[in-house]
Amino acid sequence: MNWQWFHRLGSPRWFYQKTQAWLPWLAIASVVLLVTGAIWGLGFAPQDAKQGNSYRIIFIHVPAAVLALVGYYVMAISGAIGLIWRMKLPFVVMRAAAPIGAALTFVALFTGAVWGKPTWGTYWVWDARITSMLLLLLLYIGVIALGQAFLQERTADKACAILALVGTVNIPIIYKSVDWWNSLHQPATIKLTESSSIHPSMFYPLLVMVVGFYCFYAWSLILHTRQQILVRERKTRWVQQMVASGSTRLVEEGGKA
Amino acid sequence: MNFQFSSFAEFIEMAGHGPFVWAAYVVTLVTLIALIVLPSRGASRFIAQEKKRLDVAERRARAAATVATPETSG
Repeated sequence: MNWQWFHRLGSPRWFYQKTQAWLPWLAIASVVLLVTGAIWGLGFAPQDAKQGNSYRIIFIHVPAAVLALVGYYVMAISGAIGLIWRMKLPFVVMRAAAPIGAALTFVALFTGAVWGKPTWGTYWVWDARITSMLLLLLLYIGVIALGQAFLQERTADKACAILALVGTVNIPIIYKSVDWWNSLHQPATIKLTESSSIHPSMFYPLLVMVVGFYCFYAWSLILHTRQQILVRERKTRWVQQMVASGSTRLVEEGGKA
Repeated sequence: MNFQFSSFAEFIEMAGHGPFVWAAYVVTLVTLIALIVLPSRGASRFIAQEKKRLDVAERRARAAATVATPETSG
């Protein structure tokens, strides 16, 4: 079997070159999906029978929370790949995923709080779902801080990967928290195995937003990774050539872009 | 599929839930924009900084060369 593709994946330059062409498409897809989903959810989805208009926060709260969890797996799995195969690029992806994950976890917590006030009568409760999400935010912040605490990049990478891997214990706890403990938080409305408890008129805009958030996540992760690659590979010839040309675009030798 | 509100004012008001809904959307929007702008600007800034460093080093090297061989500097 040809493993060349796998080793190429470890090359920062190959990643930088490849993702250049994806960026505009990801940008268009993210903006179109998020704008469509937001207008649909805010103005055209029907009011909720019990919660009125406050439920419209669901269209950002759920996708942000989903990507906060998925992003943690992205970070931890990249860290594991970096540790096992000693490749450069997965560590860069891992470090790039930390600030995005932290920001999305913050969004999930914030939108949850302002949704909680009109619905539960309080911004915050120390229940299992919310507390484990707060722990997720602290784990992300921990990875960011740990990454800055070491002078040697390789030591920082390893330390971050280990912390990220240990923290994965928290993910199933967050996911299952509404089933395992009594909570104010409502149980999952979208289920893969049984019929969902959400009406199609609310489900479709939510689906558009979730797909939009996935595209956005990929877009932001690639941008963060590319920025880190430039800094880490500053001594290489290909980055030096980009510096000389004063552009963040990598032009392949021989004119091929 | 119809617009659920009879006027724009009602849309903003959202039957009293407006402040909560709009606060959530605005904070999310600002965060998402930051997640795109910060790494993009960071990359361009890094390139600009490095270029400046390179130019300064080059100028110094040229100046040093001129001092070393004054007859070629005209």
